[in-house]
Amino acid sequence: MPDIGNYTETSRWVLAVAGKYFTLLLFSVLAIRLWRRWAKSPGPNKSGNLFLACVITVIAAAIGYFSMRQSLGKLYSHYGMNAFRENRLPQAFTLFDLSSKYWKSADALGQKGVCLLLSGDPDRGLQWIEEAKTLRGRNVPFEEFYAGLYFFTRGQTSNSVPLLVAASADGNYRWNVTKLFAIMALDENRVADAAGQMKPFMQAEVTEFDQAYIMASLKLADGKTAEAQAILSKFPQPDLSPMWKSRFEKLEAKINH
Amino acid sequence: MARKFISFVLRCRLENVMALGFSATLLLFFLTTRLFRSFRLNGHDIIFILLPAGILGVKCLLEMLLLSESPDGENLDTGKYLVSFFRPLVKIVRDWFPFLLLSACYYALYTNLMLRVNPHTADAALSKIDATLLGSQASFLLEPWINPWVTDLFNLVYFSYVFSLPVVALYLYLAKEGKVFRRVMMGYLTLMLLGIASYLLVPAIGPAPYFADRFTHDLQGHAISHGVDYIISAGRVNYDCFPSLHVGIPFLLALYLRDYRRKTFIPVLAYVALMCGATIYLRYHYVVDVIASFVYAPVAYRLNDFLLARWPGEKITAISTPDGR
Repeated sequence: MPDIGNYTETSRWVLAVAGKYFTLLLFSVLAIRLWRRWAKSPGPNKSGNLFLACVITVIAAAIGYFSMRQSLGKLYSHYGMNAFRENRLPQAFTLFDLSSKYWKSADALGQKGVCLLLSGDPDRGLQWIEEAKTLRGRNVPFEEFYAGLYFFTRGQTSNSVPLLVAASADGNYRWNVTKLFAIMALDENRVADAAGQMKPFMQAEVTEFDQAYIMASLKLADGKTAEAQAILSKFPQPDLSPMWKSRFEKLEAKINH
Repeated sequence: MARKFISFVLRCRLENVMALGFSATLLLFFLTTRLFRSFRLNGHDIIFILLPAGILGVKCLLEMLLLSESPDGENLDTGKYLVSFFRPLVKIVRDWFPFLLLSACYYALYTNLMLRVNPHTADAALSKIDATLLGSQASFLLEPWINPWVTDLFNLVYFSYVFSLPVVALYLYLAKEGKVFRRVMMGYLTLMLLGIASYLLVPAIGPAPYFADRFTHDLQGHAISHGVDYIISAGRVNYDCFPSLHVGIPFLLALYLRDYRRKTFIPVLAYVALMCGATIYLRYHYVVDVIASFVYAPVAYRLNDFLLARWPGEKITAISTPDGR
């Protein structure tokens, strides 16, 4: 189920679900009435009415079966995204897998691919993301962002940048992409570029470790060592992933130098 | 040939002709200009038209389910039986679809052309009029009176707008007051058309974003207010301030209810007054937007009656329809 904030997606989803179940109700009512009609119909018409009632019943059953499967697929995909956002990757993968068992879709395949990518099976993950893209005919920001992030963590900037640029078209990922581009600039000692990227957000409260890393780096470049140290000290290193831990250690070494 | 065509058009329902006319305009825009990027159903289309039509569809199906098979139905051949089954549903589509199409066309025209036709927002001018009328902005003057419970109440009133037209339209349709239903729906669409034309000519974003850095008090409010605020910010179309259709549409409904359900007129006016308070207190509109809606709604009411009474296909007049048939 989509986030209500995404208005167009929500409208489309509500309309699709309403349309689907209305069609199911329509054919179910028609089937029931046809069966009633068959029970009361005179002899000569009986076989024709029976045939029609059977056909409409099969259609109603098929619509019901596929509607339920699709709804369950969407439901598990929604739960999967919740688990993914809470960083519970194995659970998210299981839920996405369950979702695709109910309703095979490019989205579920791509979501599973992202889970694999982030949990140490990049070959299969990238392959599934590519298959999802082929099935759908286009990429989606979710897959683009995490594939871009994966390439970034591997130091493959040339692969990462186009994916992140594409993902940044979606407002949900724009802030994260901005931070990643600022980090890339800092990695290449392009402090002015990083400062330019972060200029609109310089007054924002520092709440995330990657934001802290960028802000502390920029403060250090400005010669404001104490402020840089104060920002870093808000984020205890044991809580960080190995990639960020090494970056924080390097930055702290520079500050203390 | 041309005369036959014109004669055919004049015999059609007015809403059908308008819906076709606007669809053709939209198609022309799509084919000839890059000003058009998308065609999306708006919240108005979904809640104001599709929701009551959907409810009617479900009601119709449930009635069919509960209705016992008539002897006539048993003897009908299959084709005729299926036609008789689908006829009530087709009637619902037939009665509601032109309004859906019209509403959707208006919003498609608006959302595509907004700020392209007129890139100069009118917030400065509208706020200046308010300042001339009141000495300051109404939303600033109300700041000392901000209270979380009042915010909640006004948010509920503001949100209840989405049910005002669907409830009245659904009620009239279920009461089988067909002509009244069409008069009200056409009045609503006339007001929408006037409103959207006005938004294109006088685009304004509203006091909340325009004076965002000058408010000293947050509106506060509890969970209800946050929820309503979230839904409205997700669903609303920007630059739709002058006039306030949140006030205009309930006021238009009040005018129609005065004609057909006189007893409800005063309570509905009280609701309109609350809506005026809500739009200003919640910083969605300037006072002049609210005043304008008391001009736009009667104009739409008169203009719609004028068109319906003179349309050759099916003349609908205000006086001929107390029972709507």
